[in-house]
Amino acid sequence: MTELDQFWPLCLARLESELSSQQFNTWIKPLAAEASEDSVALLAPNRFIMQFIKDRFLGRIEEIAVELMGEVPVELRLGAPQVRPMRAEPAAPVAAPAATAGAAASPSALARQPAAPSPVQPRQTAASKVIGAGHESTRLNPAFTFDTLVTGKGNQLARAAAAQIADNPGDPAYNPLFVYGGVGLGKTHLIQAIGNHVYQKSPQARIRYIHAERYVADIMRAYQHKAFDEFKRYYHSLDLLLIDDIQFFSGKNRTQEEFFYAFNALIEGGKQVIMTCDTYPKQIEGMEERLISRFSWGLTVEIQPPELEMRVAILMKKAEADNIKLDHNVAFFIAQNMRSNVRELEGALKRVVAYARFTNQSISMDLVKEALKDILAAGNRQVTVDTIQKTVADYYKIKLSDMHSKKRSRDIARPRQIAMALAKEITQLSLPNIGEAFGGRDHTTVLHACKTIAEMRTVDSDIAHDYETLLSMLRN
Amino acid sequence: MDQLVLDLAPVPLPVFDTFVAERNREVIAALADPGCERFIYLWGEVGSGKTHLLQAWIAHAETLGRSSIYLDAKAERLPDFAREASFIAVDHIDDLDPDDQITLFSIYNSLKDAGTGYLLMAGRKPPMALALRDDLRTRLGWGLVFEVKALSDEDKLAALHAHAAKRQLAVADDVFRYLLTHWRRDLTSLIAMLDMLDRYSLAMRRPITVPLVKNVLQTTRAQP
Repeated sequence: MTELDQFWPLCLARLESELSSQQFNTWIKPLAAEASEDSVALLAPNRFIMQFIKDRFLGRIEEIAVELMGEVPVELRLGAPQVRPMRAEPAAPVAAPAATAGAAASPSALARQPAAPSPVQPRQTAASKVIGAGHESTRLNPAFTFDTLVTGKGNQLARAAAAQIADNPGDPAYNPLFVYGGVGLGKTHLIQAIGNHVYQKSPQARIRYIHAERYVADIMRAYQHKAFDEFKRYYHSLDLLLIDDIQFFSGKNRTQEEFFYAFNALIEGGKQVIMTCDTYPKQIEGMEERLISRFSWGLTVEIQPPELEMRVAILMKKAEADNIKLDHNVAFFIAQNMRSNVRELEGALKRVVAYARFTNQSISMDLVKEALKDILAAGNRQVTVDTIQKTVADYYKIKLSDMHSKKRSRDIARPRQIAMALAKEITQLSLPNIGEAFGGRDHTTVLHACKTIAEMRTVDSDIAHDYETLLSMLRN
Repeated sequence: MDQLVLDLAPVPLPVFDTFVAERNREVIAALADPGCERFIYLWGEVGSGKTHLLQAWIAHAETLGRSSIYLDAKAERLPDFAREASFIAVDHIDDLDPDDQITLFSIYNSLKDAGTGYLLMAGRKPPMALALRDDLRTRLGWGLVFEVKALSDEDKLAALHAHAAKRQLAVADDVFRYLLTHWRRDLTSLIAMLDMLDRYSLAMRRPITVPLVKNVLQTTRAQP
């Protein structure tokens, strides 16, 4: 049986092996523990963390407690440790997580805040010091590394694939890598992380990152300056080509033809090609069939919008990188209100930081609400059930009247359930009101729809994708 | 016969000092701070002073001896060479046509990649409500976003007085109050009207008074 005061370090080690590093750093690490004679108290630094622990992790912590110490009550409350805290770095974690992109929530990192008069410190660009001068020819941003990439449900698959490729570029199973997803979700960061990793390992490798729009412009210029052979030679000789937003090639036949040759030369030579796009290959319009089919030769992965937890982690990471002190509840508030993409999220943080600097105050909840007042007011445009029904009906190409009809065939009922779930998420309407708006259905029908869709989203990637797409369509 | 008026009126390049900033101090602070965010987007209703701010920012860049360019999406196509300037202001973002959206997207990306240069943009709506390409719209929301708040009536009066003083016009307060209630209320129109009254009073050799203003407003309204 474990002594009470050894429970927490052991429990931490256990949790660290069970949870993602991001979850662990964000939620578990800030906790402190106090042992009394016959119970253990966990202290959460704020109400927000306390609630989250209660909802998600307390059950598991209690299980571990039973396992380690028998029936000892675990109490969770708000507060800071009275005496020397039991909080310690976990003793020898069972398996060090492969991902190092843990969230930036470490309290020690926040405590490092220097005692300067301004609440905001200028950004440090440590990453750029690590990488040498030859790096410039790659056009990679040295800040985009795997370490700075926050991982969550939405991008973990893509990240895993990227890590594989970064270690073994040119592996036919992953060549080309085609990453797709909506705007502002971190596609560029992910692929540049591969580039930077490969560069770190072999600085002599010929790597080039280019945005598709620039590639098109470069081809035009090469033609005009009769430097086309040089252009060709350059692209055909690369070891790693990273090309962003390939949808910009659509309708550009000459570019597509040139890219086709470059692509073939690279793939045949066992060189890695990595592309991003706003949609999956088959859906790109105005793209030659032979290119589309080649895009799917290797691995195609999707990046989905970050869930709440990940958005919080992104904010904490960003704040840490910029040396800004940011509380969890504040990050949570911002993350809750900025949902659609990471850019918007980072923009909101910048706005908060600028306001703090301007008013010379530290970042508090009140300050955040004040700073984001206009953005929040603009974002809270009312989306009506009518709009939701119409958007969903258009999306699935069914009739608007089917939203109200009694038909129960799958191809109609499923979109209707999605529309109900969206109405529940986006509008402030009660379940009976939503039922009413869908042809006078009972509120239990709405509840069932919400549960069904929530479940399906976890197991059926198509449904998950449709739902996220619709959500972002409605939110914008 | 009317007195002919020589066009000697000074055309001052807007500067931050002449911007009545009571409710927009934070915006000015951000624009004048070189250590600040390099990508700023301003939004606000017509006449709230966005164009003034953009031009003042350009003037500010010029005093720093930096290359700068002001582009009005409503009036011209965006030139690709704009990316070579260190301070780029793009006004009336809402009016960018599809090709220009790609140009701006590309300029944005090259500044971002280069790690130098400043881009200031303005439009009527907040980023997420703009009818622009997704990739561009989200980039607008990526930097610092400010709403430029419209002036209160008192602010407008102050701005009109300041403008009149610059032109060495003695105009009574009741004239401005009359304009505020009888003419368009955005500052752009009000200032333009004050300039017109100035010319008119010179030509007619009459001081600017409420009766003169009534007279001018009637003839102005009568015009199509």
